Amino acid sequence: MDKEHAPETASSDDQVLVERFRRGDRAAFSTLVERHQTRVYNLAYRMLGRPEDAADATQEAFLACHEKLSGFRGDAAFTTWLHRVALNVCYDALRKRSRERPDEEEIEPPPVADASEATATGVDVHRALQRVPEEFRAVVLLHDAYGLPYEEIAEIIGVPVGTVKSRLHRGRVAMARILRGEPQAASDPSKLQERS
Amino acid sequence: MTHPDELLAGYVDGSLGSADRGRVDAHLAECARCRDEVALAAEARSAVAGLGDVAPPPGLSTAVRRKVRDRRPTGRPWRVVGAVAVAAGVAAAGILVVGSLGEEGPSMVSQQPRRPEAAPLPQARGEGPAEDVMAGSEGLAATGTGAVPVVTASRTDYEPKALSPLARRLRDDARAALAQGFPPTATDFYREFDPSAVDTQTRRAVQCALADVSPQQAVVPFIIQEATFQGVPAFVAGFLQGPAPDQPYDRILIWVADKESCALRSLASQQL
Repeated sequence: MDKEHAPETASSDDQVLVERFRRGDRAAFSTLVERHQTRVYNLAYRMLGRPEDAADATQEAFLACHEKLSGFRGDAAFTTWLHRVALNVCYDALRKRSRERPDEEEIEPPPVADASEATATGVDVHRALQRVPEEFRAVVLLHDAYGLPYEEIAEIIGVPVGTVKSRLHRGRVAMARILRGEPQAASDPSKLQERS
Repeated sequence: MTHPDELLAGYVDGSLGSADRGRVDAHLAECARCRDEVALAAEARSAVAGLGDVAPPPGLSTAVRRKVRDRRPTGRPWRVVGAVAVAAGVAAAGILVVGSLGEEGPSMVSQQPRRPEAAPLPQARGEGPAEDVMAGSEGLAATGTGAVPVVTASRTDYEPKALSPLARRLRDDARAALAQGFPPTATDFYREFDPSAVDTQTRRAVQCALADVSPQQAVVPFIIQEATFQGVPAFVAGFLQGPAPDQPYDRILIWVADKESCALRSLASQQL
């Protein structure tokens, strides 16, 4: 995915844009939107499963970002903060969805793959992700799709680094089992808890 | 048996130090379940890493800007909807672009105010179905009670003699807008403008309308209409102008610029 979108120069440019925005330059916010919309949209798409939901969530995320940016203290990278805002919007959308449509099959279940098949298509992977419980899905996405380090993910999600590592492993295992056609083993969050 | 769950992610990532890696290797040698999980995790890691980015839908960033703008509390009954830099970077120009322009005669405004929430929001060109904003003679909200973020279009063909009456009508609307909180000076106006809301069409119209305006004159575009002047496509703009940027406007200008060359074609002014 777009790991190259977050080099240090972009990060420092973000800080400059944030500062400009806080001093009243509203064009700076537009630049931030242009720069990060693909990342936010894709995170929302992988979290929510549907393009239309992802577009709504992206708008909500940037709206929340706009409203909260004046309070952004700059002690975290802007992208870290933006990921946190976007993820929270996704969680809200998922909660709302489960409240309003509790019986709905969210995403068409993935086909049962031949375990001997070495590769999965992007569609299969996308569908399988939707079956991974959301708190595990988020970690898997942030690390494996976006290449974020454990520490930054811990900061985004607000959990200890050890929890991130554990969730990453459990989420990956769940994901692979789904891809192999073992959905029972993966879609039940209770089976993803840490073993003793 | 205790399984080293917190180390297995790092093991799959290849990021463990040699001591931890040794511990995991020793564990894997004895634990078939963890061996299986490591294989599964590596499989998933590779699959997710292979996901490509999906392109966001066209117009998403514009929709974001629109949403931000619509949600923003302004504290004023009007909305400044865009701004562009004027030549030489001396001044910036904003524009309050307002409702539909009249089709009956040369009037650019009606006397009927429109509430902001009732004002339609036409699509920016190129991002959706073109929306005809020429909705007749009602609804131009230069009275300051509403704003529509587009430069409007009209089939009106202006004649030179129509400009002075137009200036007088716009003067009344400008007075009403000022009474309702429109920024009283160019300095105030540009302090509050919102450049994020400018679409290409608006930018082009403002730049063209201001092309022949001396940058030393801080003028505030109040309304711009794409129309024709003596049969030739033109931007017919109403500007507010004061003796200095930080002094209250004392004049309203009707400025007609050739749409192609942006050259000034005609001018009328009216004391406020």
